[in-house]
Amino acid sequence: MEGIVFPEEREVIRIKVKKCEGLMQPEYRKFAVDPQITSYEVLRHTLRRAFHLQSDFTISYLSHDSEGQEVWLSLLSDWDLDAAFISSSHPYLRLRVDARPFEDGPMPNNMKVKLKRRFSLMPKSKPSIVEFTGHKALDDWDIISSKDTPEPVPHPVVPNVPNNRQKPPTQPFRRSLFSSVQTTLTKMTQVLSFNDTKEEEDEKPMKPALSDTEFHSFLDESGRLIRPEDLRLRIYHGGVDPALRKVVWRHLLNVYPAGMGGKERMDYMKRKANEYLKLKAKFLAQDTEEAQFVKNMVKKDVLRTDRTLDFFAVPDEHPNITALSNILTTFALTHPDVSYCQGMSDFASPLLVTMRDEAQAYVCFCALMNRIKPNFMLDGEAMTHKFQHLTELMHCVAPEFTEYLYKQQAEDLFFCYRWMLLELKREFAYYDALRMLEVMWSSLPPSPPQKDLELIDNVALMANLSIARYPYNEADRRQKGRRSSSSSNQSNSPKSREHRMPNRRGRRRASSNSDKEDGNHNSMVDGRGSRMPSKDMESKSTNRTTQQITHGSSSSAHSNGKSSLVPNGPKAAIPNGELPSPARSPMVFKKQLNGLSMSSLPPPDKFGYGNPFMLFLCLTILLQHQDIIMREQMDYNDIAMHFDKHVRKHNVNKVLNKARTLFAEYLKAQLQKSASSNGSGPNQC
Amino acid sequence: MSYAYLFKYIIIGDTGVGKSCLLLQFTDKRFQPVHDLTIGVEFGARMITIDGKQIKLQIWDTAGQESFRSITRSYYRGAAGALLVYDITRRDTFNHLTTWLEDARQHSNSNMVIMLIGNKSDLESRREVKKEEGEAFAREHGLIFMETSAKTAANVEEAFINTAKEIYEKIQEGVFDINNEANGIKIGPQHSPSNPALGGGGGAGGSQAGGGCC
Repeated sequence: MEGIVFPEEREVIRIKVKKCEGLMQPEYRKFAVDPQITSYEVLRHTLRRAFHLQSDFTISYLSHDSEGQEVWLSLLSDWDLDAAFISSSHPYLRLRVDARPFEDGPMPNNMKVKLKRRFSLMPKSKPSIVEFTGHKALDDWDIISSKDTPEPVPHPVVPNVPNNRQKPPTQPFRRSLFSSVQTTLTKMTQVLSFNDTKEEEDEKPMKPALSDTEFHSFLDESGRLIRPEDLRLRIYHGGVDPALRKVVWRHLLNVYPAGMGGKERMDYMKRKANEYLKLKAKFLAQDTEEAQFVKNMVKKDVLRTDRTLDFFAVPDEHPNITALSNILTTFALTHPDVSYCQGMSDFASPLLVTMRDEAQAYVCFCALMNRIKPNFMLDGEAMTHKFQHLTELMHCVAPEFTEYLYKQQAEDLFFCYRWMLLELKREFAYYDALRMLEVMWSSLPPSPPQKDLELIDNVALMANLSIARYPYNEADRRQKGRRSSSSSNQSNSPKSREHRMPNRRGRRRASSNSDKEDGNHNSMVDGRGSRMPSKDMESKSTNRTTQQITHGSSSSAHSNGKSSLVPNGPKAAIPNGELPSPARSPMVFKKQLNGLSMSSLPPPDKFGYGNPFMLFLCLTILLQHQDIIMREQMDYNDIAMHFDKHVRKHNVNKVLNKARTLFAEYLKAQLQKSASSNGSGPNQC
Repeated sequence: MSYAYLFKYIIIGDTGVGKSCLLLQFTDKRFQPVHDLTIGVEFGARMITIDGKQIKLQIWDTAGQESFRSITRSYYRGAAGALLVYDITRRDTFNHLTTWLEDARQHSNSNMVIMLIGNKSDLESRREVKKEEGEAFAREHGLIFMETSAKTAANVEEAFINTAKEIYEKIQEGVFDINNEANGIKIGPQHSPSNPALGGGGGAGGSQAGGGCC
């Protein structure tokens, strides 16, 4: 969109590097890089090679403080690298590499290097690079198996796979893993050849990012994407070259219906962009109370979204900020069932920054929201499931740590709330987060829209499912309802009412279940202290676990595993409080979880509410901090504060590497489970 | 660091009234004009002294938007103090106080001390809510009241500390059952041996009270 301003883009940046290692003579190197394609990890890799570095090292760059004094700033992320390119590269960028002879060697005292290595406390597992097999029979959910690949290798251009990819996916994303896996079991077991003996360097750069040339190997002569699963597999391991994100992300986000050629895609995007502009003109012109409310809300929040990023570090009235605001407001008003929710701006920001065009970013946002909308529904069901699943995963992978968290009454893992709501977008520096996001999106099976991607939820609009996150007062709401002309039919739908009246639900629960009472009578509950999830979350979680463990089927809506994942939120929503509550004490609940193995976890189409890899990212971060948390005997608050301090500071490569390894183990276990249950009747979930 | 008592606070109020900024000013003594939008709950802690006693304040800063209520509600329980914040330059944030208060009272223990805070007192020229209105509301609902500015730090210390004083007084008066952690109060590790009641009672809660913390 016109008006969006980017920092000056230069083609070449010259770099001078000084390497210091203990008492050894410093070494120097000079080279030049293209800032558009040089990421932090590429730079690290280059430096490692240039100086033949064996040990860990830190990078800093020479900058000038406000008084013009030279100062060495640490360079820890893509974010820092951008800052270095922008602010300190005239006439050349001066870097300093400090190699550490020993892991805990002394820090150079003239630098304020953050002690990020301090937290490299991951158990020395023996991860191996994992890889999708791309087995065509598993066309909905590619299985990631493990192969031993010691060096990052360029992706081989596989000429085979003539396949039936064009078949329109009827239930693309949601089909049970079992149904597809069982048919191909024998093949899969052959493909899986785990080799856990090779130790991988924690921080080894991933595979090189997908390049332009390589991307073209996934397109046929008319530009049609021929191997969407393989493309995802490739990106899962290496990410996308930043210069290529604009194009590739639209595939990953499921913007295009399947089978479109290059020209068709361009026409489609143009058409969609126009459609957006019309919607925007129409809906932003609305002057209803609700529209005003949404506008104000969005306005307040875009002014607090990624403002330290160059793109948004602009005056409040700048077109970049307005663009973000327009996207969110238009979406909210055209999707009244979910409307606007805090956190959405964190999702929209990377799309706008990457697409560099408001309309295209909007289209991508709609595609993304199709998947993550449940995160923002007032019923909290999706988030409840995610917490529950993360808890199960923790029990399974880190029982000792989980035990510790129980002792600290921190087993609810609520300090991971932001991680899961925003799919960890804020946990990494901005450009690292982009890498993480594309890798995570690639872990999901393709789910192209059947026809056109919908930019407006006409069903919700027709049903007038207006829940706008309105003032909290119900009386207030009812008044507003009376004033708005069409509100009378809102109350016809019990579901929509459920959405609209969270407070009342809360009250009902609270009044039937007095806090004071259970504070005194039930020492188990009492023992958990304050951080009990709401009754709602509690009863549902417990219920869920019970089903999980006993494999009991029940009539509850999520045991059929279908409705809750259908993108149409309101239909899928389960009115709260209607689930049978087994009222188990937390202790019983815990006991049940203790025997969990990877194979007893929910299958990938359900795990993490359809995004299992996200859980493994969370798990990895938790594990990386396990030692320090336990060593320093952190309590609930300390743990939460500890993680709050690490916002935007996690090491994206380490986290992704470890998460991929763990995820592969999980998928392997799931396969084996389906192998053993194959032939023993219908699947148990 | 050891402490005599630990109090848990929760900060609540409409979105954008300055909850996170108040917390940051109190814990870090700085003001950050562009603060990340709070998602769910964020956390802070600081040590204060009352009556020569070290008191650790654990503060949960909640997101203001309704969509987070299902999670933030669960934090009311076990809070000894709540700072209910509105923005003196936005009348609507004042109008919503009743709902916040109802919500807080319903989900917290009845002894929770609530401090009403009219924030952004530095923006006098844009004031929409008179100080007297805040005072009247506080009086009517039995709250303590104060106008603060997270930007200039005016009254920020006082807001947190006066709340703590009130809680402390309630403890001394025997109003709070300090052995019940659900009240948001914990006795510091060094105090537990001298308090036989804590050692014996409380079951799961009691055994965890001394464990590990700071």
